[in-house]
Amino acid sequence: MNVVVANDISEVDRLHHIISQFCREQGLSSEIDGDLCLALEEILVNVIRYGHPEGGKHEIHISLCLEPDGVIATVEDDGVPFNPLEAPEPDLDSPIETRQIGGLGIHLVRNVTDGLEYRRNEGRNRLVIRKQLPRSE
Amino acid sequence: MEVFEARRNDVLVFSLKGRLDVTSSPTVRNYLQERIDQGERWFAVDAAGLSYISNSGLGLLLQIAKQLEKRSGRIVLCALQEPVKRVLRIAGFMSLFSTFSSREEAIQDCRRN
Repeated sequence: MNVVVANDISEVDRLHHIISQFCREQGLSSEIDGDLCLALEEILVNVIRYGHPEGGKHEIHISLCLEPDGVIATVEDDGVPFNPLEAPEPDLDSPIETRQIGGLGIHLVRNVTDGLEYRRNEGRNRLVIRKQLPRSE
Repeated sequence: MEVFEARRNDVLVFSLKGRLDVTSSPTVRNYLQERIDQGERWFAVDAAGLSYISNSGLGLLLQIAKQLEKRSGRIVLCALQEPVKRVLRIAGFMSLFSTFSSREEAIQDCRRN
C-alpha cells in the first residue's frame, strides 16, 4: 500500500485511517495497528514540524508492506536531513516540575517497533520501520 | 475525541473517549486549561474510553500536571486501557501520575497528597 500525504498536521487523521484499513485487510491485530499508527504519527509529525523550515507544500511518501515475518513501513520526504537513530534518549526519571514536555516521539517509535533503518540519498530522507508479528499472526 | 465532564465535590472528572493524538490533543488541552483558569485544581481523568495516546497526548497530560502542581493541585488517571498504559510506561509516566483501576478510587485519592 502506498500513500502520499501533504506536510499538514491534519493528514495524520487520514494516515491513521489508512493504517487501520491496511491492518483490517491483512488480518492484523489491533495491537499492530496501534503500534504502526503511533510510530508513523511520530515520524510524520517530526517531518511536518521540522522538515521544511523554509515552508511551502511538500509531499511525504509512505508505504506499508506485509512480509512473512512482519510489516515494513517506509517514510520518504524531501525535508532537512534527520536521522532518528541519532536522536538522544529522553529523560524518563525527573519529577513533574523538571520533566521536559515533548521529545518522546522517537523514543516511542524505537520502543513500539523492532527495527529502524535510515538513509539520506539525493536530498531525501528514507526511513524504513520494521514491525515484527507475533508468531500467531 | 469526546470529553465528558462531571463534578464530585472539588474534583472534576473528565472522561475521555477516542484517541489522544496530534490532531485532538490541542482541543482537549484548551478544554482542561479553561478549567484551570477558572480556578479548578483537582482533576481525575477516566481513560476507560481512551484507546490511543501519542507524544502529543503525553505532552498535554504533563503540561496540565505541571500547572496543577504549581497551584498545589493534582491530576490522577484511572481505568487505563492496556495500549495506553503501555505508552505511558514507555514514556516513564507511570512514576509521574497516580493511576487507579476504578473511577471511585481516583476520585477518593485525588485530594490526598
